[in-house]
Amino acid sequence: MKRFYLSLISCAVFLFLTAGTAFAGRAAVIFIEMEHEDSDTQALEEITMVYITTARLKKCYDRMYWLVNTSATKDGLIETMQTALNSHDNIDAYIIGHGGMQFFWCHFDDRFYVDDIIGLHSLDNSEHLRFVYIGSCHSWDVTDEFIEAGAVSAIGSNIKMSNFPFYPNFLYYFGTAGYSLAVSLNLSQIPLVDDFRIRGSKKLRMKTEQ
Amino acid sequence: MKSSTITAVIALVVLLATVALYRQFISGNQDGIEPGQESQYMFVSAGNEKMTDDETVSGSEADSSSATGNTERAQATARAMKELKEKMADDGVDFAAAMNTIEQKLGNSPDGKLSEEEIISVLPPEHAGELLKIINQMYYPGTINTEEDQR
Repeated sequence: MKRFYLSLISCAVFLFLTAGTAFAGRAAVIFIEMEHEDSDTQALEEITMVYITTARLKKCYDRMYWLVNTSATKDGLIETMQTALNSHDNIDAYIIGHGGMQFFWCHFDDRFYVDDIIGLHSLDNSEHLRFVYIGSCHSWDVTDEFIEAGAVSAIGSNIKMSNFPFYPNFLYYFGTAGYSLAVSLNLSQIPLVDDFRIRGSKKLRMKTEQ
Repeated sequence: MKSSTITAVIALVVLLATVALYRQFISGNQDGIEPGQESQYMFVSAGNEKMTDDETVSGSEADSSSATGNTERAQATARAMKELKEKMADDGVDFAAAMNTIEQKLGNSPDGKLSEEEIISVLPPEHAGELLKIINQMYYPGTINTEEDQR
């Protein structure tokens, strides 16, 4: 009988440890293009972004798709999104770069416009898109297009911005600590400096499944 | 049915119910903020859409001294980054080559995951150390080398 009780307790402990923490089917598409004119003036910032993103997120995702330097092109982003959407149930995108109210910059001095963002909705399995972080100036204005494209939540800045130190802090609270988007955003903002906002669900967390 | 079997079934039900309640408790607490953090971090200007799950704080309630401290820290970090870039340029570091190397490494990784050492190694060691110091300054919750709370 003791063995029976021990088996029951073991099962309960196993369920406790595994329920809600499974990361199966989660991938991140990371797009970093901070020098679209290929001037090498922001290379150190780009390397820093790769380092920070890796350190904070690699344990949160099964697969990380990177678009940096010459691979951070408009076509590359669309193709990579399709690849990720086809192979994983939950896709988060982290877009770090320069931008304006209707676009963000890609490599080769190309622009990813709001129409291109809405076009992501036509990709197969676009319902797998879950969350998008857009770290560029005035990126709040393109968050609604990402929602229209199928994302549950999107974060952007309402003003000119810097990803430092908001982005590292946000990854810590959202990725490592597991807080909801709303709490992660509030804990990461520098008062009177940052003005990041959430479009869509504010309660989404890293462990939330689609 | 034996009484021991009934007891075992009841024990299982109670155990599972306890686990479910505990998980719900933990889940609910993750939406909250530690006591004392509200005035330090929360600032919401009138009319915008960033907020906690349930409440907002007006701009006038923000802790201005904390805001000043955080801003100064961010500015100091930006200055340090600029100085490092100038130093690296003076030392003839090939930034384009570093970016090509990191792009190649990321492209060759089957799951897109490199170690932090593999990433930072695209820079000369003396500059890599300086960059790591700056990266750690950016982390208000703790340095990036603090891995004990990583899942």
